[in-house]
Amino acid sequence: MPAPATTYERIVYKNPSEYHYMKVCLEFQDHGVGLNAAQFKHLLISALKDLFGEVDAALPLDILTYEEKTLSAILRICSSGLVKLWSSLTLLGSYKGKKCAFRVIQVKAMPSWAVLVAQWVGLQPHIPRVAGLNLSLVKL
Amino acid sequence: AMVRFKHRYLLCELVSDDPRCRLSLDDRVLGGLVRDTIARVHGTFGAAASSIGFAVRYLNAYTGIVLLRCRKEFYQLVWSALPFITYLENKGYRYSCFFNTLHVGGTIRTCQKFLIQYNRRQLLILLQNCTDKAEREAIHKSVTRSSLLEESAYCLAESTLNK
Repeated sequence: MPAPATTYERIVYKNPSEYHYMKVCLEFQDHGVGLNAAQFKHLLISALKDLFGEVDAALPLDILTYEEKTLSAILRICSSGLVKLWSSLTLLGSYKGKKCAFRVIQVKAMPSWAVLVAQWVGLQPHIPRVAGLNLSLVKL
Repeated sequence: AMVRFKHRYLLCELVSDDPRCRLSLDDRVLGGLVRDTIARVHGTFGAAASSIGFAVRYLNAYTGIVLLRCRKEFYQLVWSALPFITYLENKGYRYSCFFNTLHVGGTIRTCQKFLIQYNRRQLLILLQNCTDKAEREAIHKSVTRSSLLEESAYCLAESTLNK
């Protein structure tokens, strides 16, 4: 018996999104180092401040999710600041004297999965307006 | 194509309540202060990028006019860091002041032309606002002298062109 036909829908956003989403993970050389969400955000801002100064330390950066056990997070940054954030994460070498490194797992401009995450976290997701296209989820 | 390093010259005026502030201007101290401010405002990247062609080219302690040079690619880093300078330190004493950018030019000559016009206009403003008769006479003399110099410069240029 043939399988029932499935329909797929592909969504194409024509205008560039205002935000970029990064999935990052912080790795320490020694184990047993923990950071809570506030300390994690402070670390990100101090990395930006080190390399790009006070002006870029004030970029609108949000942590959408944070897992203390694995030290991984999903960050949201405005698109003009993506290169600055990524380069300052690359050059961050230590936290409180302990060697560490940021691993960037995924970077996305299209927020489809992050929209769901943001809704779960309770933030207002930013959905770019596209003229003439229906914003509907992929139907299976 | 002509390839050379292009610069931008920032003509700034030091404004302060205290008259001793301008007299304590020193080109090396000022250069260090601007570099430190850029490092604070724009970080390691800004400090390194702007310090390549950076120099204090002209400084007048009486009028408080400063001419800074920087590379064309990074002049906005320097320009945007100037409002963050809030005081000048000299021999342990702090004078609160700020930098007012008057003109941005591509060469020293354009900045000089602007400065001459600006000073002429400032003299006329001073003439309007002054209260003392002796002061008024002194400023009036400076104004006539500066316009005579301009006329003589024009006459010289015309005579060389007519030859």
